Amino acid sequence: MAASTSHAVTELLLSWNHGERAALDKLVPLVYSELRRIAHRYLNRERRGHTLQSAELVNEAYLRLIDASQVRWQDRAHFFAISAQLMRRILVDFARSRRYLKRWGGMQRTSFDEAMVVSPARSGDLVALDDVLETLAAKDGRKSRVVELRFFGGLSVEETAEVLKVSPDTVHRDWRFAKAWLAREMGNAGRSVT
Amino acid sequence: MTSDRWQEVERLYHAALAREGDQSAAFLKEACAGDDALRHEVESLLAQENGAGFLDAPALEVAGQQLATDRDQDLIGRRIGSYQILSLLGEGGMGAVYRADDTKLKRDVALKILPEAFTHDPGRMARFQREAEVLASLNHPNIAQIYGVEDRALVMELVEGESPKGR
Repeated sequence: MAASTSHAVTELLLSWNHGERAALDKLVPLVYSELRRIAHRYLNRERRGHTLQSAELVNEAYLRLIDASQVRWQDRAHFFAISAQLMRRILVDFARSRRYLKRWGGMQRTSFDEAMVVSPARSGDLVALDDVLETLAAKDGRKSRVVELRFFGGLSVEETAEVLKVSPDTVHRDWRFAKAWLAREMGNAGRSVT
Repeated sequence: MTSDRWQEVERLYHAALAREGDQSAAFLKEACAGDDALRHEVESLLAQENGAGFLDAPALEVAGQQLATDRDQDLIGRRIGSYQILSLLGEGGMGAVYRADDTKLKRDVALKILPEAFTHDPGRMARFQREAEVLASLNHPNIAQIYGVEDRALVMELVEGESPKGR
């Protein structure tokens, strides 16, 4: 299943320019199924009796969703950029719907997919991040893209450097500064929430 | 386009990071040359070293973890055995207590449900079983009666009234 899924996703992402709506609609369930898989592994951690290799697991999930090996070398940067943007949209929407459902807690819960997006207290993070990332984009577009590519897109420093056509060292510095700046802004904006 | 001020803040931030504690403070003081606003700005960023730790895990993982928490907290509307979970009555370290509808006997009951993650822990499950047995052996008007056990839930008499904390 994995290979054909990632192939389909790759096609979707590449045709994204023709209309993002369609790509988004088809991607959402795929991303959610990866989220469920990750959640499931977390819940089963104790039974397995060993520490979850979470980095590995998440890398696999990203690979299933975003497999650049299918993409022509010339398209790679574009492909990564689009993937990261879409992941951001989908995951922030996910976080937002958790918030929303929490507020209206307990009402009209019909399917598992709906039930699964309800939130505990700390759910605001991705939504808050999305907001401050917008502010960062206005101040320093490249740093906000570094965060989008690294955090939402799951790209390595080297891949991020390739997309942005800067050196890995620049990505390192941008990333470090952006994290500090975002942490401060999120703290200022949301400390009182939780 | 980035402003000059922004670039200056960034430059000083990295330069200060590259220096050891005391030297970093001394460096900033000198570099900012009386511009306190600039120094505060850089210092407030330096203070965030461990601030946005969640950014170090990819977003997919962050969201996946949140989902794992949700799956457990949100049982309302779901069913355990013949019990339809209606609302949350209270939460504790060993699980949460819900009001539920006993669809077979048509009465409301209290369900004490263990977190899903605990169900894989033999020690906790043993304690859970013991609690059920102890409750079953007691018969006292001030202790909720136990009706039964469902895979990770104690089915108990629903006692209406204020919580002991409220008294």
